[in-house]
Amino acid sequence: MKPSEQWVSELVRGRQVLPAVSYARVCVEWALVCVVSMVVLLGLFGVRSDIASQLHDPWFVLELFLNVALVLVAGLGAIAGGYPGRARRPEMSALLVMLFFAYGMVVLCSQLEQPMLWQDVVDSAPQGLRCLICIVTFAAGPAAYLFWRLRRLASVRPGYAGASAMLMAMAQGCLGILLEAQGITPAGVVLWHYLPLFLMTLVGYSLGQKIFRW
Amino acid sequence: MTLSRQHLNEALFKPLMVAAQGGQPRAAEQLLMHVMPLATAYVRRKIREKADVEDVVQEILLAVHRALHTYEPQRPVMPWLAAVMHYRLMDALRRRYQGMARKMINLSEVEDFLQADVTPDEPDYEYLHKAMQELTQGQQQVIHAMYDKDMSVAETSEALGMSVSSVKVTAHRAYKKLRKQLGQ
Repeated sequence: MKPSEQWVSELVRGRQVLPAVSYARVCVEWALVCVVSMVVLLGLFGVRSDIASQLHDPWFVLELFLNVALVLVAGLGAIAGGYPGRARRPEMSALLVMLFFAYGMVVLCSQLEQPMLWQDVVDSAPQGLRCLICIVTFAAGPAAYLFWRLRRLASVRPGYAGASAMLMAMAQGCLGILLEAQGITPAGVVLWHYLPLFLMTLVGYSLGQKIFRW
Repeated sequence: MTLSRQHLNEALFKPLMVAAQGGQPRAAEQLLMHVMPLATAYVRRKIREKADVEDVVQEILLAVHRALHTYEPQRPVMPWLAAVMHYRLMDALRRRYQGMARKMINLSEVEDFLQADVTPDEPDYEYLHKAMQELTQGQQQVIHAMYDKDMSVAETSEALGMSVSSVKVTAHRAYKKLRKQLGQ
């Protein structure tokens, strides 16, 4: 027996391989975590009182649609990142980047009716901080689930998987705050909603590179 | 009708992957033996030194074995295998280039420019000794023989009464642990 053959036989000896949870099952579990966490937290915080009138505003509907699309694409992309056979999907990455910037543009454009004032940033700080805490609260459940699950898979693009998982969670947080809070100033939206989403995606990238290595 | 190389590989690897996932060590062994030439050819495209090629191929085989649970039987094998091989090769190349960048600074070349000795004559690699203590006794013996005594794998296996492959596996695990300890 050659040394390489002996090495291989020693490697496989005594370690039973159990198949990982399937992609479809992880997707269903993740969707359930998102929906349950959203329903529970909206039940606790309450849905914004002007939701019915807001649904007639095309900017609000577009923002809502893009936010949901961002959660879905980022979540599915992150889960696919955990399976080497599905990880190389450049079209998914391109779609995610396009959605991210489209969402940013819509967030900005929907606020153009009101002037963006520096004073608003100062005034909105207490409410902004509350928004940020709410976003993190909405994001915590889905983020924890996805990071826990991806840690048990074998990501061949750890940075991308981490960034997608974090982007999904923060987009879920933004969706929660969109349905919960009202009367936020344009500067507040950019500073307390979109900027944390962007920064946390970068944090997710570096976190993914560390914790999804195997 | 002729089958393409990819179809042949699919037909060869798929049953082995499924059987290996089903807990058959013989199938896992055969699978890795079949992956070995593919991985060697793939790594040789980027790395020329034989010893380095062997190291990276071993890392790829370990990775295939560790990630085997993530293969989905209803999907083709080759994209899965290609992704794992690419990931490990890129990882190895990254480490290799980082190592080369460090080696490029040769202190003896700049010694004349230094005003005074700022390092002791015999450097005390305290951090390395500390990391070594975290290894098992067997791993310490293998590293000690191969690096302190400058023995080859064959000589080490003879001296310690281990098989050549056991020395390789032990050394590989020790490197991995040391790499983790030293934060590389």
